[in-house]
Amino acid sequence: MAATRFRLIRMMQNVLTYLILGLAVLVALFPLYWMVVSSFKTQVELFSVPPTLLPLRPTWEGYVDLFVNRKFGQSLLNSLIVVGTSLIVSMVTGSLAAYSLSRFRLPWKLNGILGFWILSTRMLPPIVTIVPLFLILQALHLVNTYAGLSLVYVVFNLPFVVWMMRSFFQEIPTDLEEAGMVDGASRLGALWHVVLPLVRPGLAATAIFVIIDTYNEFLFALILTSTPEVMTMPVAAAALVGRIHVQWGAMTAGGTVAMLPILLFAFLMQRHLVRGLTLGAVK
Amino acid sequence: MIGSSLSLEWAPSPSEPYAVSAGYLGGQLMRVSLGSGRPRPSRREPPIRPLWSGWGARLGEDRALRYLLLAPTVLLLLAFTLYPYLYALRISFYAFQYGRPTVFIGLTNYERMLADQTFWQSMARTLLFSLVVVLVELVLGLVLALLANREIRFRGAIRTALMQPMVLAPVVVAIVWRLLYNQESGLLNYILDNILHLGRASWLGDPKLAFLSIVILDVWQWTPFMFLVLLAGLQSIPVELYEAAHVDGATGLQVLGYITLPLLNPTILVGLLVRTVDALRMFDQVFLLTQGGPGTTTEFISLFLYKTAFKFSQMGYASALLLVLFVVTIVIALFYIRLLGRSGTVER
Repeated sequence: MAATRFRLIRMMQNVLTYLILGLAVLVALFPLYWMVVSSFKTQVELFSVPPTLLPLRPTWEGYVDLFVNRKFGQSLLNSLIVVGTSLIVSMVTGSLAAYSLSRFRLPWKLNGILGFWILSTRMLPPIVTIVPLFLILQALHLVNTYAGLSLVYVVFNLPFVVWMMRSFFQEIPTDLEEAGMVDGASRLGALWHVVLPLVRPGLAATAIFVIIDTYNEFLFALILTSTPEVMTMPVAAAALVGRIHVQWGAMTAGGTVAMLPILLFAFLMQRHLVRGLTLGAVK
Repeated sequence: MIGSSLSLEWAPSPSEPYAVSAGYLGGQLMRVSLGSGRPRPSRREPPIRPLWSGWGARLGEDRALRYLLLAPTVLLLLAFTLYPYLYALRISFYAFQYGRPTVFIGLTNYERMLADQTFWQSMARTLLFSLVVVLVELVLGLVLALLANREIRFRGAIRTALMQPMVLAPVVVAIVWRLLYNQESGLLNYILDNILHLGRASWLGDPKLAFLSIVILDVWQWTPFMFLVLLAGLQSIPVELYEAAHVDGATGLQVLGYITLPLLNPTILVGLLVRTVDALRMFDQVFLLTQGGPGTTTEFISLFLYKTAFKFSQMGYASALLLVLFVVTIVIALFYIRLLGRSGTVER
């Protein structure tokens, strides 16, 4: 009797667990689904009562408006250029610094000081640097250029890359590269041939986070770009979120297009996320 | 914004049977240790190499190399983070004319700030906002993480699903909620009016509702962060502890109060730190959805700062404002880091 009651309580608990988690998943995902579906609806259907879960007469109007009239493709291309440039520069620069921090003992406790300083630059609100950065870039004639925005993103991403890569380098035993160096490789040779292949998953994970961060970034892009030729995706999409006269089709289509690459990367990151968690969980 | 985060590595040491570590923090997988840079026990000084490998020459190479590798990063950060702060400090003592700091006015900008009602209100609003969203996200995230930590199926799928909102661009989030909050055809108003018969709400236009609407949006986007961080923390608690408690006949609540929560404490603090620092700079979604309105009901400090600098071109006053925001952020971050240090698991 007691056993059945215990089993009943167990079952109730399980049902409740799945119910709440299911609800959470629904709340997290339904709004995204809703945006995607809405992007295929006609203006009339968008306002229909009751709302339809699937578009009755799917239409591409929103996407046509987005890409033909509003040249959204150009902004995506701009994003690609800026994200790509800043990704390469910050990954190379940051990884080298991280290698140095993880392998060499610097005098005057510089490892700790530099590490903490680099981290702290990451924690501060970007808006705090935006005013002086804007003025500096203006003086350098770099406002509204790919170079200016990429430069800012490099600086923005560097602390993260250094911090991530340092922890990945630390996990690789120094014996391996020392063995390589005994065999006659130089330090950089050992880094390239021995360490780099081992740290590749870490590089990939770091790069994906940098890509997502940079691609999503809004504030710097808003202030440092002003013409459609340079404007990145978030700024171009922001123009669609009008407050009075909203072009619902173009807006939801823009949201959908902007979301897709990120969902893809988030999916890729999932693998590294689990890997990262197990790498670090028990040492 | 994803990019902003700090997480802490509970540095493993032989004396600790386990180490809570790594986290998926701030939308980022990163491990952080405070007061870093201390070499790990496993790392040794490089052994002396035999002469025929030319170790003398190589040692010299390494000495230069260590600085050479660091130099670009350090120089870039000095030039584009430290210098801007100093520059901001300088121009906060100046009045701007034609886009240049021309007239030295001493502390006038700071005096003006002290007397500026709008500033104080937006500061208070920002602090209130941070407090509310962070607490709600903590509670919801903790409940979800505890549930997902039970022996359940589909944990991986649930985690994947729940992490979606927080990787999205703020502009996409704004679009999603623009659609949901829309007064005429929005889904929320459809539910309120046609199903619950409560009438329609002007989510973003009603001064009484706008703040709440932004809170809801933030909770939607960032509860997953708390969930993932806390779940990672929960999963690093050794099963043996639970088994021992079970053998001793502890009730579910006792396990929660005496094992789970105390061991989760550092993870909770990290989550609070990252989210608070993040919430203090709330800008994107507010800028996109309400521009601080209606009235000033959603005008947070970063928006006020933006308007001062780029709408009214008062760069000097804006610099004074941003230095204050800088100090407030540091004070709050240090407070949490202090707590973390006290919780004993962080290497300092």
